Amino acid sequence: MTATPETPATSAPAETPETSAPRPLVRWRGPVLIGALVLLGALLVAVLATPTRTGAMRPDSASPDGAMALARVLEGQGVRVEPVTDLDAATAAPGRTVLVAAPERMSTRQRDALAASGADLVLVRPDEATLAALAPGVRAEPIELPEPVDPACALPAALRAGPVDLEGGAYTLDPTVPPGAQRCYPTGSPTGAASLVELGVHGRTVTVVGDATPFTNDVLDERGNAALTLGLLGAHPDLLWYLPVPPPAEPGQERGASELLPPGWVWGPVQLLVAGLAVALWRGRRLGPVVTEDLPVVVPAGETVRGRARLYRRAGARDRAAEALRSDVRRDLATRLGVPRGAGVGPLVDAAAGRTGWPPAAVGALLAGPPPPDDPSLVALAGDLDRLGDAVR
Amino acid sequence: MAVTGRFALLVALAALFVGLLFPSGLGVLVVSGALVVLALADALAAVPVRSLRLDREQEPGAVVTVRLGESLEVPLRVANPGRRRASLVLRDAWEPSAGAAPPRHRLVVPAGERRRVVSTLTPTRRGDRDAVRVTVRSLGPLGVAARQGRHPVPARVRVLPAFGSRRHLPSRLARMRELDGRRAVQIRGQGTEFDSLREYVAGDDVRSIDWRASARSAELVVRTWRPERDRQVLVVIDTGRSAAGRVGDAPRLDAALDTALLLAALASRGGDRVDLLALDREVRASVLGATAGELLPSLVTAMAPLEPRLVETDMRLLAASVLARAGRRSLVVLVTGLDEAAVVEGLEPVLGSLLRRHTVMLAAVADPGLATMAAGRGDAEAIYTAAAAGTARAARRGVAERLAGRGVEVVDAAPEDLPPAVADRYLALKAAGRL
Repeated sequence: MTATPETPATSAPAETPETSAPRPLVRWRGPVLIGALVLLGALLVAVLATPTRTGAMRPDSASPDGAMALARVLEGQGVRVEPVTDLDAATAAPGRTVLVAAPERMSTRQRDALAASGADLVLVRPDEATLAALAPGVRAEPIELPEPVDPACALPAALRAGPVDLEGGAYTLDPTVPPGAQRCYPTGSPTGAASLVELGVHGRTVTVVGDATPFTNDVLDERGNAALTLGLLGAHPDLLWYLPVPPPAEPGQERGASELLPPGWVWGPVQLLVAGLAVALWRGRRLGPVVTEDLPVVVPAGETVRGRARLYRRAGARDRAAEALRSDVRRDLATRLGVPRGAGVGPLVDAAAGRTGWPPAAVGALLAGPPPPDDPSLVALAGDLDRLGDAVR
Repeated sequence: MAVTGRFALLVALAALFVGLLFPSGLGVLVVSGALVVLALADALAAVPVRSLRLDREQEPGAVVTVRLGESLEVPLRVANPGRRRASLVLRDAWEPSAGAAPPRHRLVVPAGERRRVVSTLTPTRRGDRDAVRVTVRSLGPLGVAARQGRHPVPARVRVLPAFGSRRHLPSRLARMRELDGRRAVQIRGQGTEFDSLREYVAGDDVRSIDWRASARSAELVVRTWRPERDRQVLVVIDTGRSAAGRVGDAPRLDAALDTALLLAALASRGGDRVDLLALDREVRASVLGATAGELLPSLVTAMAPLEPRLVETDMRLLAASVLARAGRRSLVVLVTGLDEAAVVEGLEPVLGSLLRRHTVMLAAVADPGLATMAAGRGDAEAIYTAAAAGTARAARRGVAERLAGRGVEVVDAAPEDLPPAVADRYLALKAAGRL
């Protein structure tokens, strides 16, 4: 490869006129800034509104906060561990233990079903609604237990376990609670709050544990955690490991994605739409109406010539076109060769032939021949006339 | 009433508030409603636009002039007689071809004070340009919303012809001085006048000896003659259809005005009197009997508002106007077209009456594009165009030759060449004593 494509010398560099109007960067600074702020806001909403969900307390999870170790040990002891995600009153029959590993995830219907059942319950850090439904009279206290303490109660499992890793919630008992309820691992607060509460409700045993830590793989082998949890869960040969999952919606009651979104995600963008309206108002309001002006007529001077050329072409007027070209050249040659204007074609042909050395017949045909039969020969005639003019020059 | 970007930003930020704290339709309504109320209050707190006093720094009705291609600063004064500080955005709106910049001004006028903003006009077109209105946006104290209103603050700028051919003037003036100094005409003839008596030197024509003066003197004395001064030049500009054609970027009329200006500048320096007439179906402008000092200003002022019209020029009116205005023998310079039909049907019938009393020069703006088209080669379309251009040129040439045959001085040149060509032809006529 030797030749590189040359840029045509005629191409003028595109000129960008310097204007006094602000450059686009400056002009769009405001809207871009607003857009960035809105994005930032949306991000903030997303971060704040996303609840943290983990796979904690799952009987099949080997992660530090899972509970696979506990489930295996229980099975080794002959307790049938059955993980369930939904329960009805029939399944949770008396004589079974139900470990409610995540009470806050229960729907109202699931909670009611559990309340109607007869199984013994172990509630791990229940929320207010669960306490009210399943352990009436027990109330949560906003106290965190300092360090492992002694059970200080008569519950056999707690007595066997001794100090455990209970660092979560604490509970008090209302005076309405029938006697016989056990309060273990007291926090030492004047209200008598304790981290583990066992009471009988409608003929079954409900145990409220303030913290899920003792159940986890992480610390099951430390202190009395294993003893406590095995004692609580191994009372019956059947253990239902209840990790509530909201049941699928009934046909006809399915909810769309927008209904499942937190309301902030719906109404925030609605407000953004309103903001879009405000931007439209802001940018759309003109500073005064458009100014009009009567402009003078503009007629390109060469328009009639072009029009006539198109007419020639459409009519195929090669005779006229050729005559126009020839008379131009004849006039030119007459001036150059000094042939008088009125002398006619003959002397002109002779003079031109004499100057150029071309055969007079050819020059004659060129200057005053018959009209060309088609467009290509018209083009050729124009070229020949040009060559004749150049030769005379 | 108008809202600002700040308002839009507030509404957008309210999305955070609604999304995090108040996620409901009611929240959107309440928040947006509160912001609208805020904007309304802000607009109400703004200084009323009507209370502002706006004026130009000049007498109303005064006309400022600027030459086409140059810029002009136009001030606008804003007085705030109220007791609150006015924060303003204003647009001094002119007709678009006045080229006003910047498009908007921001200014703060403290209570009881006056501020001045300056717009720069760079007109793109000849003629009178008017200030249309001043639109004022008065921002509220929070800058969230504004009141908007307008004031009519009339002003007019007269955009004069560019007179680009000025650069040819020095060389033509030099040639004219040469003409004067050469005293080419020592014999009395048409178009010369008596200049002075001087001593005979060898080589002078003996026929120019003034015997009566020689008798009174010890020496032989000859009379000298010089080209006549105080001749009359009447420039007639055709503003009809033929002036509307656009050659290159400008209409033919612009070249015609340029030609008239150069000729007028030259002729008035040469001691001739120059009058101007512009007409199509009626007289559009006329400058008659202006003294040499005020000739050019009055010419450009008269020319400024001229626009070509798409009508056929009334040549009978033209001849009648010329005959009525030019009493003595004059050089009549017609700046018009060389269209065959217009000349044959319009000009030629009245030419006789003009030629009987005056010297007539016809200046026409040629289209250089015609030559380009005539030289076009390549495909059939280019050849047909070349043929049509050749026909047009031949017709033009024919008309020019026929007019020249009747004694009209014909100058046919491209727009930028026409002014010097006409000036040269004028000098030639002057040298020949044919004025």
